[in-house]
Amino acid sequence: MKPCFEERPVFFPGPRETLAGVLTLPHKCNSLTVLQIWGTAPHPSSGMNRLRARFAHVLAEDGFASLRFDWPGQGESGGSLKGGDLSTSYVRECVSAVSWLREQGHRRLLVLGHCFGGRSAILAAPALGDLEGVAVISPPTAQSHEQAIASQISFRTLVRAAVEIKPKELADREWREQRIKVIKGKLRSHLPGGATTMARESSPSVAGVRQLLDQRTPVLILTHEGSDFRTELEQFLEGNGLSDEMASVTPSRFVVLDYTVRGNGSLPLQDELVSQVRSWLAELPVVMESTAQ
Amino acid sequence: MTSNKTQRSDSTDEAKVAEWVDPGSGVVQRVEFLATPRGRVYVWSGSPPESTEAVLICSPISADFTANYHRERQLALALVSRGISVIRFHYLGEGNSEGESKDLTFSSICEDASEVFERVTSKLAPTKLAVFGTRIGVLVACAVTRLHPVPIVALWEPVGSPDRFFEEGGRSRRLSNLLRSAEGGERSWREELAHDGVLDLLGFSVYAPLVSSLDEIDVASLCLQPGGKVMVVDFGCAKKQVATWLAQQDPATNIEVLKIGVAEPWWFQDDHMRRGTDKVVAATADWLSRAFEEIAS
Repeated sequence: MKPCFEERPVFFPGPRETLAGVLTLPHKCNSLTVLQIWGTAPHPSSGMNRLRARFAHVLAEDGFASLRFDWPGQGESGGSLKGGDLSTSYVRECVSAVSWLREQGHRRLLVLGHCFGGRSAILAAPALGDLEGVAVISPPTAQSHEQAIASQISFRTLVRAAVEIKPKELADREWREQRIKVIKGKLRSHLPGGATTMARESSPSVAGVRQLLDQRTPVLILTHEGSDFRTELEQFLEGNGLSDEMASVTPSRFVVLDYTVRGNGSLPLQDELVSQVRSWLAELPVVMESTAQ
Repeated sequence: MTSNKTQRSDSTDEAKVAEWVDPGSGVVQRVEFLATPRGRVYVWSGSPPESTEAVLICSPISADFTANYHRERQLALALVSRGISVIRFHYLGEGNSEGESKDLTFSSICEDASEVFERVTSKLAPTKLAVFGTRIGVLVACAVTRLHPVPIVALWEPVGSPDRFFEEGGRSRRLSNLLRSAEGGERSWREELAHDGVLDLLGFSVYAPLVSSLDEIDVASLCLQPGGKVMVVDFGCAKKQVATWLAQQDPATNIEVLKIGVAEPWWFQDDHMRRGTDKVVAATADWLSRAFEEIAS
């Protein structure tokens, strides 16, 4: 069976280097385009187990065009890979992708973000202009990966990991620095005022989500039990009063899926993510209007 | 590479090509969906001006395809910076290429490699050629060299017993379940595959046709032919597989083995993925560059 879409490789100018991606165009378009903004793992733009490609194809069946692109240094984009350091975001790259899409005539945009890409999407939201909806999957909200991970793991796990350290690992500076950050994050979260510091450090993410909701842009936040960021997200939404604000912008919601795997390391979880995003998109007023026409 | 690049996106139905040219180096980077009889193959090529040498990169499959992707990108850029053209591609049913994962077999990936080899090399018209492969991609590279005479072959971590490739994945999954205290189930991965039709190996879908196609490989028919230059890099993570592959080769084949410690757990994908990349990429690019010069002399 012939696919109901066609795909084109594209290059577009980023803030520092040329970025690469794949544009998926459905034969029957609903005039909406989804920008996929993903994590910084050095995967191809098709994603782990082709998850991003699968999103693009399923969305095309529902009439959405989509663009999945590589960060600098990733896949076919120019530049060098910086890794998932949350203290530096890729807001400017998100803005470049949105500008390029709008120049190509894709004016009505939605964003689908994943992990670091979800965080970048939230931080970039104020600079992206009008969006029809934003769905993010397990976005970290803190300023550093290590701090986010530290909030999830127990002291017992930390001690056990310390006992198992190998001399070869200690000689690796990058490894050493990452572990020190995790330990510092763990200790700081238990010191007086630690929770306040964590909340303050997530304030750019709070501002991003709040701005979307103020503009009446529906937001879907998806995560699962095994995600590194589940607890952090719950605290982020509850501690900042965002749960109530989300309830006022239909069909915004926060969903925790019942899977204990880390990352997206399970096929049923991948299926569920696609299904959840697909059904949430179908509930958006703008999609329901275009379907009715 | 400079950040100020000229670019062009040609998006006609026939072409499906995008390319940009680095005005500083003149290198042309091109991505296209190459039409083949079985579907469109996603192909990246990097061509320095007046390049006369080219390397075809045969990727591994499944979890390895993702794990090794960045390293292959870096190797390609390192070779391009040395004036050598490079072609990378995604097999049909893998990555951005068309096709379904369930249709992937060892024969299909070899056909894809051969198709890309013929089409792209005829376009670039290099005077000297090399093929490169990693893990299962080593066997694909060997299959290409049996169809087309290629004097230079570079390989990372060859798989010596393809029928055991998914055993490793099954073992990794059992270990992962143990670490997470999750239920592993009573069934072996082969029983699960036979029953469910698809196997979930740490988030990678594996289908029966691919497994049975690896079971049926006659490794002897894929040995390198003596002559030419061959380099094997042993990452130190699959020593038995590498040793098995080496033992299967004709003693007359002159193979240079480099041992470079790379912490690549293959099936477990985490922050280890980029470790050792610079070292292994530089050593391989240097070796290929030298091999092209020696062939010339």
